[in-house]
Amino acid sequence: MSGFGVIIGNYVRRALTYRWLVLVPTVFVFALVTLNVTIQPDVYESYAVLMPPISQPTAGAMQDSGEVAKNMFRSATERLLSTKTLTQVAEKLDPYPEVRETRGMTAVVDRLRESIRVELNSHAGTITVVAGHSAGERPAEMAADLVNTLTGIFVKSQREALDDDAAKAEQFLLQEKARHRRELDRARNAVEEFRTRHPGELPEDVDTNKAQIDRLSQKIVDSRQNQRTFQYEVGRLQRELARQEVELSYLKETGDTADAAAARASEQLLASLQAELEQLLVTYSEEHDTVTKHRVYMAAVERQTEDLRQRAKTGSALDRVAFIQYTMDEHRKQIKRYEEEAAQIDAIIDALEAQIRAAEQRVLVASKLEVQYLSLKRDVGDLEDRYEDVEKRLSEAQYRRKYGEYDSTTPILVEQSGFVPARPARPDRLVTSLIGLLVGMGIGVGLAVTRWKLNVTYQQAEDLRALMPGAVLVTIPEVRTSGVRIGRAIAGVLGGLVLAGIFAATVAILGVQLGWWGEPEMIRTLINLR
Amino acid sequence: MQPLDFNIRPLAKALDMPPTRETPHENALATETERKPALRDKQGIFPAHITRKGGWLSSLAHEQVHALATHVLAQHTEQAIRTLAVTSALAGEGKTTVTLALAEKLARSGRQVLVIDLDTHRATLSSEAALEGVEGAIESSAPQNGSPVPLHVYPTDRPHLSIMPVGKLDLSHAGGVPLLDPTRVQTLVERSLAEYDIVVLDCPPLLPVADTHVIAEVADRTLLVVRANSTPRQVLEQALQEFDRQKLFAAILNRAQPQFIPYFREVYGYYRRPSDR
Repeated sequence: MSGFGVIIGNYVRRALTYRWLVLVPTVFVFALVTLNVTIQPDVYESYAVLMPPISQPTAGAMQDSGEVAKNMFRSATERLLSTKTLTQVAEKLDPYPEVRETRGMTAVVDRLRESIRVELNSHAGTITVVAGHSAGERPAEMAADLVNTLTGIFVKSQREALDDDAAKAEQFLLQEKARHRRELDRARNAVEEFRTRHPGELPEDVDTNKAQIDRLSQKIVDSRQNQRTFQYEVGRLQRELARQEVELSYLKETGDTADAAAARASEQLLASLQAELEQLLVTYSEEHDTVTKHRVYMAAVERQTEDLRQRAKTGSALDRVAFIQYTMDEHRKQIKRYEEEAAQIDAIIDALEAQIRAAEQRVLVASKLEVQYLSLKRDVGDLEDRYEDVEKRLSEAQYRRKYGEYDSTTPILVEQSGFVPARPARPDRLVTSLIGLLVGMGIGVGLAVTRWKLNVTYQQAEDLRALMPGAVLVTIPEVRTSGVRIGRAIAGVLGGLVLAGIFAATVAILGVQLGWWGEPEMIRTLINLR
Repeated sequence: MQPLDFNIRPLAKALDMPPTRETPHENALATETERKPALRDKQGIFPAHITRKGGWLSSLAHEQVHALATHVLAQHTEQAIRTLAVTSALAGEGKTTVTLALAEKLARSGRQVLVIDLDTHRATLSSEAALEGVEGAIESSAPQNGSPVPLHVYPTDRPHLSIMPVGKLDLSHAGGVPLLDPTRVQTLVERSLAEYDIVVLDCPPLLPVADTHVIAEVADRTLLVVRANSTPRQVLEQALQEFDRQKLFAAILNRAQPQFIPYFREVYGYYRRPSDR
């Protein structure tokens, strides 16, 4: 036999050994559950569905929605089943007049509390209020009246409470708004005062200061460039002045009226200018102002040279002397002006550098004031947020107070009113009995398994084999005398009959309840006929 | 109800005369019916295993005992095993029943078999056979002072099978039941073996009494009876701790539930009588 077969066989043998331990609980639990479910009276039940608020802007934001629903369910249950609410229901409907007359209103309230139950539907987020009573005692309408009256009183009280809460909330929020406004103004003044005390030194001025530093630095560079241009012009004019002095002295010493000498000197000057141009191109680009001016000057010298060459044939020396003297005077004035402007540029650069140092100092101070300034601004921001929140809540509260009964934030609405039950409610007897059967079987199997596991004795030869390897193993079955056998057989048959009888009776009762053997009314009629 | 039980007590009334007469050792070779009245199976002296009166389960038990006897006889032939001690861990596990059933099977082979009741504490075999207060093992093992001490043996109506009861117990002294003297037991067994082919010793249980260890030393092999669904494993393991397992010949699981017997279905079909079918 395979290993699986051995295991199954072992279980079958254990089941046979403890068969009564399984059968007895199975049948008895099945019978008890069936009997219990049979004697349960039919009840008229009516239920209403309450819908909690869809949105809770203030409280809901802070809590998990499931937790909110549970809290609301607990609160609703306490209020629904409170003595105050139930007393109102009892006074309005007078559902149990005989109880009121004999035992008073407190007993009626207690009876109502037993008849009503509140359930939470977690998935839908709704609360169900169920009212029920025995079908034979009260009409079906009573259940619907109970549940509708109860939910009506409850919802009305909720709305009244809401109105009251809204008025109180509005009053409170008005006070809060004024207080927050004062605090906000105080914080804003503090910021303004700080700004006044530290002009240009605030963190928000740092970028401006840095931009100013960059701009001034560039200005210094440009000034130095202009200064170098002026210095070059001074040098150039001084060289021209020297040449003119040479020419003038030559003219005075030689009295040469011919312009040929001047033309030669001018040609020499042109050559030197060409050499200087090459030097300038090493330092400056072709487009640089200095190079451009140099080229313009060279062009002028070329024209002058050409003019001298022409005049060498026809010109007058006296005119030339006068012209040179006039030109030299002009050159001297120009040199003086250039030198003055170069000197002014130094002063300008000093002023710019002073401005840069001042801007850098402001940047340094701004980093030190940053924490203090930001703290003040954060205070202002926080207070502004709080002020806005209070304003929002105030407007909501005012809205609720004005339109609260029709707003979606009403605490609880009646989603579905209770209806008059068409027929009495009854438990599912078949399913309950089958569950009882399974539970009984489970108990029996559990007992059998427990008994088996707790059994530390030897039951078969295999149990002994491990202890005594090598020994001959003989298994002698239990043989009973005929009297004992008969007695046990009778006991077994009687026990079996009892169990079978209980089981059959239970099934019969269940069948009657479920109409397996015909309509219950028909069976009762048949019994009465007999 | 006892396992494999059999009602021996009413046997006393069925006996022709109470077994009180001594059987001299010299008469050991005489026929059993001459020495003692035979124990007869009028009202169930032997267990159902032997009589096959207990239905198909009795037949199965019979076959099991038969198989055990076959093993014993094989050992008897091959290794000259002649003395068997039958014991159990606790009282009430079916030692006496198995002893008597096995002895009957061995006697059927034609060998002379003697069953000696050495359970001085309960003496079930002696009491159930209505042989209380008569001479038996204690007297037969008494020291011999010159004159030979006879073996007090009682024949049965089964051929070649005799019983020696425990004897007269003197419980008057303070020590209660005396411990068995190994020498006297040894002598008793040797003297019995001179007349019988196989001697089966019905011993006290292992745990409550120390006698069994003495007897087991004398016996060639020991049979251990374990009552199914009764003897705790821990108890049996404790009982075997000081036991010489080399001498352990067989373990008999007694009063087992039929469903725990190997090949139960096949055996059931084989042993059902035509009248049961």
